[in-house]
Parts: sequence; structure tokens; C-alpha cells
Amino acid sequence: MSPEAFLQRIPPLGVHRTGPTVAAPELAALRARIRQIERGCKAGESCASSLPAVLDVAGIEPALQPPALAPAAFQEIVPASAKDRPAAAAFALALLRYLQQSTQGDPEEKAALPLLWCQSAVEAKDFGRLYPPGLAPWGLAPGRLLLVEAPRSKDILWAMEEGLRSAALAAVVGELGAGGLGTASLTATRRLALAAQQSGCPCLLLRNGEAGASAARTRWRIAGAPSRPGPLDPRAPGGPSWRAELVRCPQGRPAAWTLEWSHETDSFHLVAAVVDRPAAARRMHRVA
Amino acid sequence: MPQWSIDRLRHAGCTASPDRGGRPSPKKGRPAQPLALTLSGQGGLRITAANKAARAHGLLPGMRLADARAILPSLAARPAEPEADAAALLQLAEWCGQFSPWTNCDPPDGLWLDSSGSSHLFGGEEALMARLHRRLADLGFEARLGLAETPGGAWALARYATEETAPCRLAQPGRLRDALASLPVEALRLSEETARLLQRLGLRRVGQLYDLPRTALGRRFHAVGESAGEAALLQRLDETLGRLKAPLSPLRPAPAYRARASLAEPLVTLEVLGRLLDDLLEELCAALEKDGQGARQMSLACYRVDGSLVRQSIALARPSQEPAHCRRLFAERLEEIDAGFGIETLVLTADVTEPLAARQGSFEEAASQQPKDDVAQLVDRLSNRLGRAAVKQTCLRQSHLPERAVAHLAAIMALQDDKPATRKAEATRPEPPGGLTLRPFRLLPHPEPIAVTAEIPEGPPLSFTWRHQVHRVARAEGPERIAPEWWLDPAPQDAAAQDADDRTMLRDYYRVEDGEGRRYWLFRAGLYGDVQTPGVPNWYLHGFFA
Repeated sequence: MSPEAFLQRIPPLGVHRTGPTVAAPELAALRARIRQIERGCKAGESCASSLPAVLDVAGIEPALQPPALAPAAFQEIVPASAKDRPAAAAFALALLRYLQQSTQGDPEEKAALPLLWCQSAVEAKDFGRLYPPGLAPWGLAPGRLLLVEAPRSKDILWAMEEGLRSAALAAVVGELGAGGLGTASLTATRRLALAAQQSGCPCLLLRNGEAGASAARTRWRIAGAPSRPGPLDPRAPGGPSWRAELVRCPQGRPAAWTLEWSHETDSFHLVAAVVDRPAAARRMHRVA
Repeated sequence: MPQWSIDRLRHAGCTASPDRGGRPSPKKGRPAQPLALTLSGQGGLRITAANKAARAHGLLPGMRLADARAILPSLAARPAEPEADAAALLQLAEWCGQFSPWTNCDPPDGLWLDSSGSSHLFGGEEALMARLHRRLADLGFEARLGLAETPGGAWALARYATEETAPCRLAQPGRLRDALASLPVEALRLSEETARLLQRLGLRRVGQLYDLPRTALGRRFHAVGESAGEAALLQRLDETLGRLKAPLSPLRPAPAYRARASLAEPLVTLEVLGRLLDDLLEELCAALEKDGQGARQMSLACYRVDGSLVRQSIALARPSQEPAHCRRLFAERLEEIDAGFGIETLVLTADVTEPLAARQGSFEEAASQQPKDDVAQLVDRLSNRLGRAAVKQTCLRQSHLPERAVAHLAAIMALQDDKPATRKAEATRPEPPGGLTLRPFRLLPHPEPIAVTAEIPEGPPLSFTWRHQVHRVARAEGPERIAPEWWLDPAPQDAAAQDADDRTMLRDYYRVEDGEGRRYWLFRAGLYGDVQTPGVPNWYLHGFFA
């Protein structure tokens, strides 16, 4: 294009404000291209398989602009404290269940694929292994679990990458141990992110601390949260609930919510803050 | 091998101190020092083996060392090491696996090789024997070889029909009877007693036994044979002549599928090894495919020039006949191979095979160049690198005790049926065992003791201390009582001998939530005021809820 022709195509200043002279389809194509670049897809490659899935909870959408939670994304989950590690692992299970539903394709087909859960040996000793009888509500049959236990995080990261590259899995979860052994380098996380994007398989990494650079675009900080009273017995603990903090998110802004998981609907719920009122008053109210 | 112990010692001494300038070899004209190996026996140290120089002076195994020193004062003596000899013999038997897949040792100083089916690789049986003898001589072992239709015949030929100048002896098919006729009767692997008795009767040659009436021979030598725990004379004779089968078992079962590459030049670098392995895998997998078989286990044996071998194995979750997949599994193993002084022979075997039906490739798979990986291949790769115990699958078991309700199995052994239909059926909302009872999503491998304060002895805890941290209990549900499974526990008398922890006790499980919103699974082992368990019951933390 000659400079003259190029200049002719630039609209005068005033016109630009009132309406676009650049053809609408051209603009749309450019926008799509930018979106693609931001998501890291190659040109010409369709991003349809990684359409954004936002946590479908009222009150969360404003913070989580798409594509904060693309299903085929590499995400990190960090426990708020050492005691919250089981809570973080449970959140990973909930997130997987949620992502599995929001992906396209036959969900039953997806549900039939095995889940690879890689755990450091120290973590397995300190905070236990997955226990299949308790996983039934999460839709995980015992035969679907593939558990890997390795002493070094190097081996865990390798196993995760192998799993992502095999494209035979529903999801891959890695759990790094405590202390100096449980570190993942920036390179390692970048490899995982790339593998997850190529395979379209969700990949979650549970880290033991915030330290260290990471290629993950989404990072959650999870702590346990007091549950609602049990449905049958108000003195009993209720369902799974967390204090979930979105620390890092590509296009959204960091925020925190108290989330609750419902096994009946397989979805997250936002727990509204409870009015500060003496508990006794409420009990009297109910009696009355 | 007539001088096995001595040669073994020389070999070991040579490898241990290679800077001494090679082993003293009588062939090079330098006469070796008389040497004897001794072991304490009846009446003091007795010679178990003597080298050629010592034997030239009339020293024989079985002599007392003091007597031998009287004959030859310059005799050097070393303690014999029968265990080391046996171990080295075993290693040598493994090394001989490059000549035939069927090898075993014949203690104390012999090796068995079944050459049927493998001699053509070396250009006939005589060439095979010559080559084996040369290779053993290179390693410093003096060997005598016999080859016959029966193991007994070969044994007899190797020990009684060979000389130093003609170390190999081959009995042509059908001529074994004649070949053995002139040998002494000891060649029949008889007990000493039987041999002595035969000598006394004037039966010194095997040939003399051929024409004797069998009934008389059987009657005369039956009792002796049995009492000595040895086979009777007739049995030995029949075995040797092939009238009776004498089964022998090999060191490792001969694999049905085997590919072998013999190298003209010893291989020192590992780059070429990969390419050779590719060829071997192609060959082996083609053979497997032809028979509709798939390998579950493969091993690559690298025979080094110094008489040692390295063996690397891979295991597969499902039978496979794909060279590319197996090659990938071998890739890391190759790096671990130490070529040493050089590798001369490579043998790839499919140790365990299973029938594998031909699979029809899907249309999509054919369209895309890269075939889709399946779970079994992933399991193979993970298990072969991290160890088969590191990759596990779980299955439920019938038990009320939480830790017994789940079995962890090595995935490579227990990978479940890959048919999508069965998995789909499983995936559709599996019912938790035990109906509505809640189970934690994570369970500690061993329940951890905690200190608990409770409002009332039988009630739920108020607070508990786990790993030095106090957790205040905000909500609690329970107890869920799980009674011990006495039918699985060891019997009471055994239990008394064992640690008390091995016995399971009645457990009261509580689901609790602490003030910060973490949910735990605690239990109290035993009851307050129970007669059988005196003292205050212990509390444990066993699992975590979401």
C-alpha cells in the first residue's frame, strides 16, 4: 500500500469520534486476532475449544472477565496456610468438576477418562492420599483415579507433563510437597502451561507457598471457611466451603469470596455475609 | 571346567588389580607358581583345588595341606571361597546366555547350555563349541566342552572324554552309545559309593554295563542308590543314553521371542546402541505380530566383553507390539547402561507375552498422522521411570474399617478394562459404599494421635491438639461407631504376642469443624471404662473433609 493510499484510509479526527469508518468486519477480525494472541493461540487456529467459562455465580462475573477461567488452562492453587492444604485440594476437586461441566462435548465421555493426581510423597504422608469412598460425590469412581507418588517435585512435574501430552486424561492435578523440595521453577510451570494449552486438558498445580515466579495466569489462594449448618442437624458441619481469593487473573481484578459447593447441583454458590446478630435471638425467632 | 575355582580367583584378582600387568599365563612360557585352595576339613586344612603346576607335583584335591607342603614346600595356599565361586558361576551362566537362551549352572564347576535351535547362528555345533571355548579362554577360564543328545552324555563327554589339547568333544547324533563306551563308569554321575562298588566288581568302563542283564543290575544297585540320595545306576544309565528323560530347568525360562545382534566390534559408545535396539525391536515386534502376541515384559541384555552383562527390563500395562512405544520406554534405560570395556552381543527378549487381537485403527486416527495415546501407554511411561509402586490405581474392598476399604494396586499390573462403555457405566454417579454415610475425601495413611478435651467422656470433643496446634471445635457430628472386624484380626493368642496396635478396636468417629472452617474426621479408639482396655481411650485424627 502506498503512503498516499494509507493516509486516505485514516479518518479525520472528527469522524473518528462520531462513527467508525474502518469496516466493521475488519475491526471484528482484528479484535478476534488480539483475543487469540492474548490467549496464546496460533493464528488461524480456532479458539472455540477453549471458550471462557466463568464461574457461574452471581456476583463473581464482574471480577472474572473472560477468559479468566478457560477450561484448558493451567491454574495454580495455593493454600492460605499449611493447615489449609486439604481445603485447597478439595477446591481443586470442585474446580475440576466445574470445569468438566462447562467444557464442550459429551460430558459423559469426559467423565469416563481417568484423572491423574500426582502427589509428593511427603504430602501423602502429612495430609493423606485421596480416599475413593469420599470421592463419590465428586463424580470420581475409584477406577478413574490414577495416583502418582514421587519424592521429588521434578518427577511430579515430569509426570504431569507426560499426562498432559498423552491426551488420554480428563484432567491433571499436581501437588507439591512442603519445604525446599516442593518448588517449581518458572520454566517448569511454563512447560506445563504450554502442554495444557496444546492438549486442552485442565491442569491444576497445588503449590505450598506463594514464593517463586510462575507462568500460571490464574492463581487462587484458598482457606477453609465455616460451613453453613448441616441440613439435618444445625450442630453438624455442613458442605464444602472455602474462602477463595483470586490473587492473579489475566483480565479480571483480584477479589475474594466465600464459596460453597453444592453436590446436588454440582455448582458453586456464593455465601452471602451473615448479618451480625446474636445467635440466641435467631433461635428464639425460630421457636416463635 | 576343571580349574574353575583357581581360574575364578585369578579372574577376580586380575579385575581387582589391573595394573599388575595381566594375569600370569602359563601359555606365555612363564610357569605359574603352584597354588592350592584350602578349606578346613577333617584333620586340618584340606586342598579343594590345585592348579596345574601343583598337580604336576602330584598334589590332588582332598589332600591335607600339611601333607602337600611336605611334598612341595613352595606351595602357596589360599582359602577357598565356595560362595564366591557359586556366585561367579551364576554370573558366567548368565553371560553364556548370548550363546543360547537356555543356560544354567551345574555346581560346583559346570555350566549347562542347550544349543538346540541356536547353533546355526554360529555356523554349526562345532563352531559354537570352538567359539565358546575361545571366549572362555579369553576370559581366563580353562574349559572343557562336551555336546551330546542328552545332558548326561554331554556331562560325561566334557569331563572324561576331553583333553587339554582337544577340549571340545562332540558326539554325533546316534553315536552317543559308542562314544561313551570307553569312558570310566564315574562318567555316569554316580555316587562315590556306587562307583567304588562297580570298580570292585571289575566294571570300569561304561561299555561293560551295556550288555549286563538289566534286572540283575537294577536289583544290585537299587538300594545303594536310594540310601545315598542319588539316582540309581540304571536310571543314570538310561538318562545318559536318552532312554529316560532327564529334565533340567534353565536359569531363566527361555523366552519364546528373542532377537539377537552380535557385533563385530565391541560397542563402547551408546549412540549406536539405540539404533541397534531399533532394529531388534522391529524384528521382535514383527515376530510378535505374526503370532498375534503382545509383550507384557521385555528385557535387553547387553553382554560385555569382560564376561559380565547388564540387563534392563521394561514392563507394559497392556500387551504391545508397537516398536515405537517400546523404544520410548527403553529410551531412559539405555542411559543407565554402562558399556564398560565394550558390548559385544545384544539380546532382546519378550519375557512375558499375551495374546493380542489385531486392532482396527479408527478413521480419525488414520487421518491424523499422530496416533492417539492411550492410558496404558501413559501408565507404562510413568511406571517405568518412577517405579511400578509409584503409579497406583485404587479399588474398593468390602470392609467397614476405612483404611481397609481401599486397596492400592500398581497400575501397571491392575489397569482396568479400557473399554469406554464400562468406564462410562462406572462414571455415572457411583454410590458411596454404605449408603449415606459421609466419608472424607482424604485419609491419612496412619491415624495420628491427638490430645482431646471433651465435655463429657462419651461426647464429641471440645478441642483437640494436632501437631502441636490447638483446634477449637465449633461443630461436631457423631459418633459413627465402627466395630472391629474380629474375623480379619489375628487370633487372640497371636495378638497377645504382637504389638497391641495391630488389633483394631471399636472406633467412634466424629466429623468436626474447627473455628476457622476446616473439617476433620476424628475417632476415639475404645470406650471409657471398658474392661478389656484399661486406661483412658486414645483419640486419633484420620481424615479431612472438603
